[in-house]
Amino acid sequence: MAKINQTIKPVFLETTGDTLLVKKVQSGDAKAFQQLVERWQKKIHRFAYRILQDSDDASEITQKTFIKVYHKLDTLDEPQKFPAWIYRVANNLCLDEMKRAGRRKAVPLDYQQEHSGSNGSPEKQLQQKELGEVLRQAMMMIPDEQRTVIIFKEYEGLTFREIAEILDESENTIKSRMYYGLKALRKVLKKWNIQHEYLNDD
Amino acid sequence: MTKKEAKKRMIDYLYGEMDDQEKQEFEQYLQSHPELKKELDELKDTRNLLGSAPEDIPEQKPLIIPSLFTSEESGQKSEKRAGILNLSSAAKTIFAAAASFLIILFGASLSGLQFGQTEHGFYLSFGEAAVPAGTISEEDVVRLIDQIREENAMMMATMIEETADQQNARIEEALNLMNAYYENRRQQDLMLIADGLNQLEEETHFRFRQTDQALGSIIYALSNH
Repeated sequence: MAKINQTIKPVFLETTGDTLLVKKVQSGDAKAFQQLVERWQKKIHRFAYRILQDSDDASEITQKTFIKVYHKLDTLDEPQKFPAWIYRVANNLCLDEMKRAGRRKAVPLDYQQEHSGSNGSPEKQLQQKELGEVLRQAMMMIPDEQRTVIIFKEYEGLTFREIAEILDESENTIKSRMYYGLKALRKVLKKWNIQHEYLNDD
Repeated sequence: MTKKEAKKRMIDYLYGEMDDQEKQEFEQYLQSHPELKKELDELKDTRNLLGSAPEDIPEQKPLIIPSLFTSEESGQKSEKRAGILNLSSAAKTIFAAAASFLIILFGASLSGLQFGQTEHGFYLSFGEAAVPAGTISEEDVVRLIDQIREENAMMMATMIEETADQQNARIEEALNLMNAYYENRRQQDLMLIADGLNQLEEETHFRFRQTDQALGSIIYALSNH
């Protein structure tokens, strides 16, 4: 196991820029924090938006994340693990938000009817846009923990090892969630009659 | 290969986390397990779909955090600058207050400070005391208050009148009902009395006749003797 850990070197743990900045902030460099914010705020906002699917909530989570980072950065013993750490902070805040709101944003009921009957092929652009919307809705239908893994993997481009570190789970658990997540997503899309329509074109 | 392992392998394969040898082995395994191959293809399709759709990520609201830091930063800087005078913060405050007071006094002496009281209240001004223009005079206020008072009184009067009317109507109705009821009772009573009288009359008549008969029989008996 130790050997594998050495061979698979996570991409983001090598971002020396972050490590350096974190060390600077920890030694009291205020400008470094500003740089850290500039480097990460887009990523965190995008991540929070993908998780919560709400622009205001995402902005709030981003804000909260950096406030927490600001106050807790001293406690980060290994500055090279900053990316996993900040994602974890953001993810936990997102989980809190979801729990607080007790929500899973409802998918409109007419979705099924709307899409099951459409045989015609509209313009590609419209199709693409619609597909994006459909995917967005479908993602909200699958369990949160599976969705989180899919987002980390597919959109944030992290390795399974990195995701495992962020979520404090084993790599196998993460892979399992990925598997079931993809399965669940496919099931939802199939129910809406989406999959074939688009995939046969490809 | 157990099912659990197969799932893990599929994900590894799909996301390129296998070395060449593992990959080869897995591909061979897939050839002899078509159902697994099908499942893998489905997973791949779903994955491709995820990557093919554009995403609309809305603009992020500006963060407030940077100011959190910059304020502290500027605080540090000003402290450094103040170092020239080498004052403690309390002394600095007093000094600043004294300085601003001096500036005000100086400005006041130049422009002529005025302080006083008008019917509107106290005023403190540099130069000519500006009388607030376009405001309502006392007379206007009094007139306004009178008007409001008058309106209120009228409103109250109408209200009271309406209420009194309503009450009168209700009382009248109640009286009428009572009247009807008593009239009814009286009629019944009269009839009862009339009945009673009739009965009494009949009874009296009957007694008379009985007495007559009795007298007749007594007279008859006496005359036979």
